[in-house]
Amino acid sequence: MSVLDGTTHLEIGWNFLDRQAAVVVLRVDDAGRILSANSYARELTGLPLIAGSLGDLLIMSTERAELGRWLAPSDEPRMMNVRTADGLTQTLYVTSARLGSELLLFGQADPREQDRLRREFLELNQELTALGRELALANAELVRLNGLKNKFLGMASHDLRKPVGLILNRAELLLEDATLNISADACRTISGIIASARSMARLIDGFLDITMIEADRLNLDLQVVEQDGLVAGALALVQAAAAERGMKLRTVLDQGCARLRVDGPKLEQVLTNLLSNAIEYSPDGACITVVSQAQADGIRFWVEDQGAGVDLERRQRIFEAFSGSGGLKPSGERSIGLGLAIVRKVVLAHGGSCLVEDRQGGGSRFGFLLPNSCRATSPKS
Amino acid sequence: MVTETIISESTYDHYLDALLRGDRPICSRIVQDSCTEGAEVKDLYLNLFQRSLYPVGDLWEQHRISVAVEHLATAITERVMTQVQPRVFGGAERGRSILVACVADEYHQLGGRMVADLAELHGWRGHFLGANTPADGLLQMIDRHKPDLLGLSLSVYFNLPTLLRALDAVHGSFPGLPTMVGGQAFRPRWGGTGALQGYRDVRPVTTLDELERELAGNERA
Repeated sequence: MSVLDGTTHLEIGWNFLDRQAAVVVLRVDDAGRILSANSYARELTGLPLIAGSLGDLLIMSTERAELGRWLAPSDEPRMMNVRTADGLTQTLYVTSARLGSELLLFGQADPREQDRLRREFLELNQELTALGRELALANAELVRLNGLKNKFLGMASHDLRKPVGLILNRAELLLEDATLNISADACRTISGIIASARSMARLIDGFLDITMIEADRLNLDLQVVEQDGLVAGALALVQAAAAERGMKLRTVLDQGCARLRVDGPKLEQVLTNLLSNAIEYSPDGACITVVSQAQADGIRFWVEDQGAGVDLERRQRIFEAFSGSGGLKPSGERSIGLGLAIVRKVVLAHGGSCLVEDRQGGGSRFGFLLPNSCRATSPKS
Repeated sequence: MVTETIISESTYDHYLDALLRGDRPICSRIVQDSCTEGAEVKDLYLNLFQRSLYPVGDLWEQHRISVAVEHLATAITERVMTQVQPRVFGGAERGRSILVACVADEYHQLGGRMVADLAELHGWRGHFLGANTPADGLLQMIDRHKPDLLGLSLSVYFNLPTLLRALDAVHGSFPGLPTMVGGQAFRPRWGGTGALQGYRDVRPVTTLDELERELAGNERA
């Protein structure tokens, strides 16, 4: 048959619509029941469609009574949002024509709308990648500045250590020299100089510690240590400060973690920092307790104080460096906020985590959890 | 292709195959694995990202892949470049800067981005303005950053008149600013770099070697 034969022409056109065209073609009855659907409609929706309802395509399930807007013949395209097989939605612009007792619906996407969307996504993606580049650049700059800061802190602290040490040493010698016959007022003045110098020395040591840690020079020397010795060492370092305030230092140690595989000196520093804080923030005569617990998920160490406690908001950042910056301790000394930051770095290096919670009966418990890999003996069952 | 590469042919083939299929997770994993094996940024940029985009462009021009596949391949490449990005910055600085942009209506920004990043690896500060940079915006940024070198990227040959107008505007306001121009639009099949003759201080740069010579030459000047 000649291709100019009308029947063949229609067949060609209809076959194309039925099998290949990116247009939804549906035959429906007046109630919206689908009598036939072309390939694209079935592929787009992922549904068999035939004998189903027009409402099945829509993004919200729709009662037949509400399908009227699409079931009236119209040359004007009407928007229809349909669910697609891949879970997204697609907007079709639908025209309809009556064919005897049936309706033919033709739905297609708006190519201009799609082009606009494509262009927008392209531009957004490009802006996002440009922003990503700027972010990486800013991060690199921050790393550089942090390095400079640590270098400066390290150099300054190193240079200050010697003169402060000299001041402390000379002042202590003055006080100890019985031949000098110093007046009581002069003694008090020299004692004040000693206290300030010691405070400055602690600060400088803190700066040096934090710059070493931040420069990633925190190399752990893991050895088997006795828990009792570790805790006793830390207590010895704070004994004098506690005695000055009439405080009692107690221990409740679980012998299930009697031996540990840790960096002894660094962990002793952790306990010392926690004890120093507990002493600082507790009232005169308070009781400070060191507790250890061997548990299934690791070994917990706690330092319990009888201070005012830590509010929930501060707990979020309390182990961060400089989080106490500017504030005054009860002693009047300015808090820089390095002690707990050092605790955190050392504990994290051991694979552990830091803890803070309220103590029953008042005060706080500051502590840390060490993983089972830090046990030198098998865990208790 | 750069002589020294740790990226094997099978890795490249695997990557290209995933790129053409639009498989972003596979592409990302291949890049991550290459980084773990010690691939340098320059090696990844030239022997994986740039190298794989050439056949993507060719297939698109030959109507063998759709524009959607080409867009997706470009988007995936941008994404994996972002993965590598943190290694681009933070190196030693030479006190020089380059400003790189695509002219107005030019949306293929990957090449320009690579140039800015590779300049960073050379110790230059690489300011990247992105795609579709209008001429007045370009002039403002040149005024703000005062770069030692300007780089303009053109991927689509039909945008050449826009590039030439941008060059006229730049050299009208900043005469003598060393400028390099590059991109797929200057491949021989599109007429090469003949259109740039007559522009003083403008040099076509189509390979990495030429880029590195241009940077070194600017440092000596």
